[in-house]
Amino acid sequence: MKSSIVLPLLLLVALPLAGLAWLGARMVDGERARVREGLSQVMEERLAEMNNVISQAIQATERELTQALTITDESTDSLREISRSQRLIQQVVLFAADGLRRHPSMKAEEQSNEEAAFLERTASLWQSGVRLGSTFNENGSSPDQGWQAWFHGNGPHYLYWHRLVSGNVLAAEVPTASLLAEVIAKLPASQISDASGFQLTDPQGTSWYEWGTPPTQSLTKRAPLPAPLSAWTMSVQMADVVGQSASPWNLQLVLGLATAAIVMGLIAWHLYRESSREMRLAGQRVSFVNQVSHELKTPLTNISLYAELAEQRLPEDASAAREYLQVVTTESARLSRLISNVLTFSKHQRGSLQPRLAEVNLQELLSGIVEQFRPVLAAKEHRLNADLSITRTVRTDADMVGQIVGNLLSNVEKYAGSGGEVILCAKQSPTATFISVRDHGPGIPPAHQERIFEAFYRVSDNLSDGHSGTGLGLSIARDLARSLGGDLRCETPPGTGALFILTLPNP
Amino acid sequence: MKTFLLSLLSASLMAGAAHAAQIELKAEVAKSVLPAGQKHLTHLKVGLTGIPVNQDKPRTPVNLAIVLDRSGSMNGPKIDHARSAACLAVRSLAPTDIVSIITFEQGVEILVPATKASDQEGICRKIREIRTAGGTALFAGVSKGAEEMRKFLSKESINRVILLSDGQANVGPNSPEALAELGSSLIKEGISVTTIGLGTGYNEDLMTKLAEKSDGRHAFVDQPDQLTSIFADEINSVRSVVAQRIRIEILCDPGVRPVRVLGREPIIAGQKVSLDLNQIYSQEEKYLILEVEVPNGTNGLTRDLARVEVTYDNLATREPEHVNQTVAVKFSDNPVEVENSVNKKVMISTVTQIATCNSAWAIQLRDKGNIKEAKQALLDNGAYLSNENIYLGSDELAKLGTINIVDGNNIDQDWEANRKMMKDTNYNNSQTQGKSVEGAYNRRIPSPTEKVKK
Repeated sequence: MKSSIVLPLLLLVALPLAGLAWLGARMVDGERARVREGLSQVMEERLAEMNNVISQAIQATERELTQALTITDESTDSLREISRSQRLIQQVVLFAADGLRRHPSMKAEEQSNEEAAFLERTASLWQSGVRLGSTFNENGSSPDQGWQAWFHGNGPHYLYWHRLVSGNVLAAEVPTASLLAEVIAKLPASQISDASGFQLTDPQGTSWYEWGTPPTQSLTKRAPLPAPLSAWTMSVQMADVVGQSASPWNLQLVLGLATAAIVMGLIAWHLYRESSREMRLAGQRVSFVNQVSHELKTPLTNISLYAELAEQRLPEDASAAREYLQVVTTESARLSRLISNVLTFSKHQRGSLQPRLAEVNLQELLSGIVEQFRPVLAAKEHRLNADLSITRTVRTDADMVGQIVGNLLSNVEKYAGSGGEVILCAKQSPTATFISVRDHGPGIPPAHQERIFEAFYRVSDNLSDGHSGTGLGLSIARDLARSLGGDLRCETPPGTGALFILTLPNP
Repeated sequence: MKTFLLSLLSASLMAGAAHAAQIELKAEVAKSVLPAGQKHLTHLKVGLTGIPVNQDKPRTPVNLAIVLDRSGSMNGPKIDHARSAACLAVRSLAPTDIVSIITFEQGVEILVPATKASDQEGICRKIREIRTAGGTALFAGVSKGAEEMRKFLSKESINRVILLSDGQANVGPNSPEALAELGSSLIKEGISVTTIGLGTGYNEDLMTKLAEKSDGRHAFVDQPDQLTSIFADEINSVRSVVAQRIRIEILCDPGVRPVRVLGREPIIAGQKVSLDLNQIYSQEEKYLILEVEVPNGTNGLTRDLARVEVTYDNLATREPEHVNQTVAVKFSDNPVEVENSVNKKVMISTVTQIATCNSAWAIQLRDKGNIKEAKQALLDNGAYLSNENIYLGSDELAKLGTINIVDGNNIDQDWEANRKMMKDTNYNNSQTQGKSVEGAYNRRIPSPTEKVKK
């Protein structure tokens, strides 16, 4: 009885708590995602900021290169002077507008040792069919300068070309190290205020420059560098604030959940206290009824006894008085059944319904019951026929069987209308004894055939139907049958009426 | 009339100044008389020596960037001595000089942005705060150092980066080629990088390449306590620069073919050999040996071999100057005349360069694991040098011979340190005349007094 209230109460506490925990976790997750998103945005901004610095460094380099490459004297000496004196230029190469190379000379013997080495370095580029200055902008115009990257040896190399007034294209080989030294020179040094770490890596993944201090627990974001260094990567590492603040967030969540748990636990405790108080009260009521019933039993027995004695002592001609006494006897029996039912119900509720088994002669028991009910049923113009073919005694509880059959017959009296045949039939098979009560009243709709066995259930609750009753009879009858190891069922017989079958085991 | 006289006077003064060249150019051939009737390979030495500095003249401003490695491996006496050495360098600057201090580890820190060296104590205080940590971002360190110098970059000042590192460049490019590119770029801005390798953990190929391409100096320092003297030496050498932005052009006469240059990497285009140097130091000879193929000539014929032109900025007058010389050879049937024409100084320089090439070749062999062959190459080189010494009678060659034999015998032990010592010796031999041999010799063969000290 207690566990049946404890379990729902526990669920009542646990389920909302679980729901709250889930929602809280979701909320924290959502918050984390938002913070991460914010962080990621900040990181992207930092990358963009640095990329801007790099863009400016590259643009400055481009201006310097353009200026160095803006010449009118296209003689070999003039061209050689460029690579000899311009800090960012290792070699130059000049192409005529038709794509033919003017410098370094096509003739090997006219090339300097460095020019020959340059042509060897760039061989793969020229073999790939690249023509500098032959590309077009979106608007269809041809740009006057640009970058050309190629791979040689174990790294990227860069050419910057510029279209001369003559229409020829002059290109400068800008050593990767010089270009990167320009970029690095403009990037911040290590001392930056906030806790972030940057890294510049070449296409092979080698780090060229690192600045800032990468935090230990960090998130990383990468971005390509601006052209012509688009194969290079810059990455930023910033403190993973989400990771760091994970514990405070959890603490909040845990505190919230604990509060909710306490509040709901108190509510549940209160409900439990209330319910158990009501249970106690109900229990007290039941025990009150029980005691009252017990107290009623003794005077009732005396009434029946003295009514019978009085009947026996009556003179032969006092038929009216005899009739009155019979009514007293019958009504006493009814009241006695009612009291037994109440006592049985309360016993069952307490779980102390224990049959007292003995060898019982059912033939005798049932005959007695038939005789007891005959006048009552006759009053409702029922014809009671008994078909008893019991040959063996049964090990069972006579009082309980009597109560069951009494309840069934009492129901017939109450509900089966009037003027029908009532058949009490008993049969024995080798393993079981069957006792059935059939009437020819309105019967029980199939939908109700199971529910009528529930305590306090009535097919019709309409008091104006004129039926009296506690709604306990069938429930007690079935409980008793089951406590005897048998069962009580309701079936629909052919024709009208109701049929109840009590099965008792034959041991 | 008066103005005319004045202008005449000033013109003559200017002419006088032009005569007092900062650089003494000596272009000589190994043999000025060649046997007639056959093709010849001979060596042309172009030597440039700075004149003695006049101490009374105002000092040339210096723009110095000290780039210090403060990686974890520098911890201990290394960083202690590096700090004192850097401090000493700062203190020896004039208040008008420019100095910047850059330190690098995983990243780069600009400890002292380019500034006038007036508050030397303040700068030293900052230097003393240098602590070690992390990796070795050498490339970025030099890049940042150069950027600081650019704030005050001037043709009239001596622009020098002093780079001190003890380890492998593990952040940024670490190939000698990449650092060569950086060096080639910096020399065009007039910036030289002097590289000081400390201990046996650094990459000597990378450090010598960076110095070579930017016309800086290089030193291998195995004991941290030597740093102060190395830095002092470096500052002295910076002070002794007499000329900057030197362009040497050797134009070979038609028919004379330039074959190769020993020890340096000039541009050779047809008949023209060009080499740029960043500076010439007082009383120190820088030279190049050009191997030329001379076509045959008849007995008694004198012909021009090449014309050498050198232009530079005179640091005393802050004017560009120009010196030139034409080298001629004579052909003779007389072997005695040929023999007598031998210029032993040129021969010594040539032999030094050839021996240096041989030593470099031995290092390559040793790098490939051919220890035996490398050892043999060095011993052979030693023998070659002592042979030449018999003929040329040069203490320098004798010592160089001994150096090679010692290197050969030590090749299978302590290679990390020996390789750095050999690289150091080879680099300095290819850069200047004679000076470094003495030091290299003493390093390998400690004098008796030093032995007693140990």
